[in-house]
Amino acid sequence: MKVWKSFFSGIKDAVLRPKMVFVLWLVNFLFASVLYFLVSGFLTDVLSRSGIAESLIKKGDFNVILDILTHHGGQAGTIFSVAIILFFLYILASLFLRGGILFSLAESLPSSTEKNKERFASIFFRGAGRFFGRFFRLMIYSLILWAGFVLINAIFHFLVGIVTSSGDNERMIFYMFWARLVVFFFFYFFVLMVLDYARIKIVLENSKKVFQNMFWALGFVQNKIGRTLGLYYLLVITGVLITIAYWLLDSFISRHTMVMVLAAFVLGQIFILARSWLTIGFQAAQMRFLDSGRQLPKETGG
Amino acid sequence: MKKFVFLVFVLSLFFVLPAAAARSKHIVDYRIKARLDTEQKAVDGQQVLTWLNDSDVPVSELQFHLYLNAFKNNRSTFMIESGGESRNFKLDEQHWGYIDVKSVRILYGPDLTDDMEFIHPDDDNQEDRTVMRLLLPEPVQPQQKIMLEIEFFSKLPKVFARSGFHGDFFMVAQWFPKLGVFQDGEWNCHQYHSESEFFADFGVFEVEITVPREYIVGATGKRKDQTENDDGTVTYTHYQEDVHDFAWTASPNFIEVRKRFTLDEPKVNTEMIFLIQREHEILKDRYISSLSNGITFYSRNYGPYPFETITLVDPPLRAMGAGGMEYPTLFTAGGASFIPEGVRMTEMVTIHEFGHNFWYGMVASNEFEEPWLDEGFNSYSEVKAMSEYYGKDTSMVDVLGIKIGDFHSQRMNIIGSGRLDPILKKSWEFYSGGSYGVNSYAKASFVLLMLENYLGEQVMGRIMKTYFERWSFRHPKTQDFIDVAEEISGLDLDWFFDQFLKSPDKLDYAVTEVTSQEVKMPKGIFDEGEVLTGEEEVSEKKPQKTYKNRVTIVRKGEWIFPQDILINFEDGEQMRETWEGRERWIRFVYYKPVRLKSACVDPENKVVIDINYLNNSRLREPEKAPVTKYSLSLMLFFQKLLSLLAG
Ligand SMILES: [Zn+2]
Repeated sequence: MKVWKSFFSGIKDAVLRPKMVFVLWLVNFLFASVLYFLVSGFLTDVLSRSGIAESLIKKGDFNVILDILTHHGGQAGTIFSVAIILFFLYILASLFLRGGILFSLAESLPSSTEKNKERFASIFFRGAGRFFGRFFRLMIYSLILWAGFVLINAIFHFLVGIVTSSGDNERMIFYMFWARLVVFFFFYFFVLMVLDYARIKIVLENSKKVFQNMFWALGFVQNKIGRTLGLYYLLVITGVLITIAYWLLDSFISRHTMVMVLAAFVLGQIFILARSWLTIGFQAAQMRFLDSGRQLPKETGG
Repeated sequence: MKKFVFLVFVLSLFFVLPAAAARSKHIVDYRIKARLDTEQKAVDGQQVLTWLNDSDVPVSELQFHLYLNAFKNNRSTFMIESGGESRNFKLDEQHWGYIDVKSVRILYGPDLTDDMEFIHPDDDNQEDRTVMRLLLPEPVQPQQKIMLEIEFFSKLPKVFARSGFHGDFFMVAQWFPKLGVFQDGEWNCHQYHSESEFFADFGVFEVEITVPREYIVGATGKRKDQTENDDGTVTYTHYQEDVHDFAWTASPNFIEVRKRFTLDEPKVNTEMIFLIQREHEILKDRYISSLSNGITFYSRNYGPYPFETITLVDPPLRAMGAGGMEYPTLFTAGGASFIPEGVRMTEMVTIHEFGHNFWYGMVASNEFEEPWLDEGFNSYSEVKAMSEYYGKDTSMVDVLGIKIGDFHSQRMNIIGSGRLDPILKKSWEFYSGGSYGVNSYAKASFVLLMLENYLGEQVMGRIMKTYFERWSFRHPKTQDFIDVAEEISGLDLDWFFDQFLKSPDKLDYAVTEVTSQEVKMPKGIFDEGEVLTGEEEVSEKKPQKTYKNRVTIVRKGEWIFPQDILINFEDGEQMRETWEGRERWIRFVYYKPVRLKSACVDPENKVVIDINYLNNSRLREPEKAPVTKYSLSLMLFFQKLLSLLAG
């Protein structure tokens, strides 16, 4: 019950925060626009004057990709490097926003003592500023968890190697490929989930003990493994459903005219908005879940 | 008396010349008994070999290929050149392979076992044992035959570089002592190199293959006989004339599918035999349809497939080092049960390897010395066949909206490659394995495509048919093809072949300038002190405005090829120009009442080997729509990535 309740409250919390969704989308959009301008400048340079450009809107041409990568690979490589830098900067920006999201959400929890009447922005950015340093440290400490993640995958890879090298069963090789993928994602999500709870705990208790909280979260997740996973995968499935819906809609749009290209782009933005909304939903639901467990000792103690 | 002389003459012809029905001159005749030892992963063999000295000089030695010795140790020329890695597979050092010639004797004559020695005609590698010389007690006179009895033991490596075993799958190729080719008064018998294939003479092969009963066998040629033995083995006898090699495979895990293939025009009637791994049963229909496509395409375009059988061997996924390889009337394909239908690797390999029955099997050029004559011709045929059956832009990949043609995949190899080697080179003398591959396959294929575009499809079709007809069951060289091409086209094509086969350069023509400027009214001081201001009324004869339109074409590569140029004006008018393409650049200027819109070299994309298609055309005003389209798509892709991975 608690899982479903947390899930729906979390979803509701996210619905009630359109500004927050907008901020997440906007940051995503702005980071990606840098790439847009770089790519657009590059393609204007290498493609827009070629006669091939005339027909490209109607029909793709693999030769164009070959020629661009072969003859302008240096520039393309530079853009790729910039994209990687943007990616890492975006991780930092997300960390910053995460503090804002969690702090704002915490303010409106039923267990919250102070009912804040401040404006959204001031709460959001106060939270973002206050917790950025701690979350950054958490990110560094989390390398321990990621090391564990790598180790588990390596062990599994080794075991699969033993199984598949002795046999010749092609089906087996195929299934083992998928098994490896499942293990990979299961533990990937597991680490993300632990870090989510660690951050939530840090915010709820305004704690500075980052390292301890990370291991507290690991213990918390392990103690309630069924429920934490249940809640997490409800959210993951929601994400998958959103993605499928997007793919279906997108598959109807053939990008053969400029209008359709723009329509596809707008649909894409709606998808990113939905993703931003779900990110908040993830945080809100997990916060509800953690908080509901946290209230019990308070009540019995008081 | 006269009659008697005539009779002797006729009889001698009968002994020396092949029977009238034979397609090739039977220089060799191999009768081999082979017994597979599935425990030892080895073949015990006895062969009776007849060789005809078809030259006009006496020959006092024979030279044999002992290919399996390439895998004997890490000092063989093959292993040194390849670094122990071939076709993305490493040699398993627990399972070296070798061939041991246990004895040689002249049939019913003296033992010559002590007269064997290893030689190294290509390098000074004393450790290489892939070529053996046998000194004969007496020379073989012209048009005389010699018959030898040879006992050998072939230990197979774990599948590596085409041959070997994997579990209970056996691909027995290059496995017996095989004679080189006595050509131009000497033996042509090269060592086994990392980047080389094979060369041998035509003749007759009859091979008795003995394997445990549960093994299914496929082999070159037609099955003549099948005998159950008391020791739980079966002996299969295969026979084939007019081939120059013999390969076979055995495994208990094959599903055998036999299907008759017939074609009316030209007449083809052959049995397709598919030996498919049990777990690849899902590939059965793909194999059947692609092989049928292959036989149809090659028969229609070059000449009817003449043999009674064609065997497709599907190796296990982990023995792919044996996959994708041609032998006469038998070839290995490749695939995996989980490869989606839109990824046409299986089809491409099937068509390509089948196609080698034409370019290698019948038109048997020297793969060591002129690899382009088989791989290039076959890649050219393959790309055309793939386009015909699976679409030019979709023949390799057509899955999830991603479309890639075989043409693209060949082109991808060419445009980024270095200028290190010409196409015409001995296979082991290329700068690297990659350079051998690009030049012998894709670049050679594109040179032929370009020749086709230059001469026209019909003329090229006639050239290919004539070359096939004239040279099948023989050993043509590059000049023989050039001669056919010049004869059929009636053109001197030396300029073409000299460039594209003998120099390592590239071809790149570019439109570098497309401008249009309004011609200003006369201004300043002219004859007799007349001063014009540029604003005078224009005379009635002249149009209101005139534009000076300029198009500049630059030759950026070293290779020269005549270029068609198409010029578009804004009112829809088109102009065509031609340029020999010799100078480094050329400029066309047009004074017209309309502006230029665009210019394009090679508008029909005939000069396929041009390394950059983007610069083949130029617009006066940039076209921004695709730029926006792709920039937005990439931006959205990046947004999704950020949101999914870093959100
Ligand atoms: Zn080939």
